[in-house]
Amino acid sequence: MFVAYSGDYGETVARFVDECLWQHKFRPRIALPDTHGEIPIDDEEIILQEESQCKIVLALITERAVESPEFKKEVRMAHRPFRIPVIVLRQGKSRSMLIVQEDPRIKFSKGRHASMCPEILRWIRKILARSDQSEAVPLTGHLQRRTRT
Amino acid sequence: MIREYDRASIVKEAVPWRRSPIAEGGKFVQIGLRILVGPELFIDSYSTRGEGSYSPEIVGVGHSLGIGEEKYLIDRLRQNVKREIDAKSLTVETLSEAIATFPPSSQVTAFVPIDFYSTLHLALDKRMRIEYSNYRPTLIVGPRKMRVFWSNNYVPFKEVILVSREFGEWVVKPDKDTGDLLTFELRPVQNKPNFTDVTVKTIAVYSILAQKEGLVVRLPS
Repeated sequence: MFVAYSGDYGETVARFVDECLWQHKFRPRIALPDTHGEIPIDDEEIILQEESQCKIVLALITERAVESPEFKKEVRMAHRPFRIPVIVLRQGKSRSMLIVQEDPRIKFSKGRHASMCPEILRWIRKILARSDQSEAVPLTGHLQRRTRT
Repeated sequence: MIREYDRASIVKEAVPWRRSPIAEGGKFVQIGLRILVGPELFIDSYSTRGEGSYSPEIVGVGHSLGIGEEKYLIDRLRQNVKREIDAKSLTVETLSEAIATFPPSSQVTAFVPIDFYSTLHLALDKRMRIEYSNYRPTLIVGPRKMRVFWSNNYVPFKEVILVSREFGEWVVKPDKDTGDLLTFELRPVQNKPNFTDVTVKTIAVYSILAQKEGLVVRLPS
C-alpha cells in the first residue's frame, strides 16, 4: 500500500495512515522518515519504483498537497502507467484535478482524521477482493457469480 | 463501471483493435464478472447525495475487467510469441539486438516487467531511456522507439515481450442491443426478490495474424 501525501498536515495524516495499515497487517510504503513503511532513499525514481510494486495507492488530498509536483506525479503514475487503484482521502472541500470521479473517496475534516481507519480498511479489502474476480471463459461457459464482498 | 473500465483497460491502446460483425466466428472469450447487487444500485435517490454516493458494490468492477483483459492478452502473447532470445541483463545491447529483428518501419510495443523500472529509468547509457508523454511511457533505444506497458502486481510477468502492430489484433463483439463494447446482463434472483444478478463482460478475442512479428527476451529473475 503506497501512501502519497504532501504538505505539513498531509504528513500528519500520512503517519496516521501508515500506523493504521501497519496495525492491520498491511505493508505500507511511504516516503516519510520514522514510519513503518519508510522508503529510505529520497530519490524520485526509487520512490516511484516502490509505488509501482504496490497494490493500492492512498492519495491524501490535503489543502497543500495539490501544490506538490512529486505528489501529482505519484498519483498520475498510479492512474496511468502503473494502473494501480487509487483511494482518495480528501480533507474538507480540498479541490484537485487529480481526483478521478470513480476513485473511492473518504472525506475528513482537519484534525479529525483519526476516525478514518475502518473505512480505509473497508475500501482496501473491497478493491483487493474485486481485483482478481474477472476471468476469461469460453463463450460456451458461464461466469461464476461472486459473493458480495 | 464503464468509466472505471475505460480508464483501466489498456488493450485497445496496446494492440490494434476493431469491432467484430455479429456473425464473425472465432475463439471469442467472455471476460468479466458476475455479481449480486442490492436495490440501491437502481434507485436514483440513492445517488443524489453527491459525488461519493455510488454503490460500493460496483467499485472495482471496471478495474477488475481491465485486469481480466490484460491477463488474457499476456497469456495469448506468452503462448504465441515463439521467437526468443536469452539475455543476462536488460542492456542497450540486448534491446538493440531484439529490436533489430523487426523491420525498421515496424511500430513495436514492449511489455516490460516492472522489476526493470529502475534499470530503465536510471540507465547511465544515453542511448537508452524512458520518456513520458502524458504519463504514457516510450522506451528509446538508439534510433528506435517502443511504447511501453509495465507489468504490475495484478498482471505479473517476468519476460520482456516485443510485438509489432502486425502480430495480432484485438477483436471485440459489441453488445448486440446497445452496440457498446461492454455487455450487461441483468437477471432476477430466485428467493431474493430485492437483489439482481448482474453480469458485466466484454466478448473479445486476440487473433494472431503474423507470429514472426513477436519476440520474447528472457532474463534472469
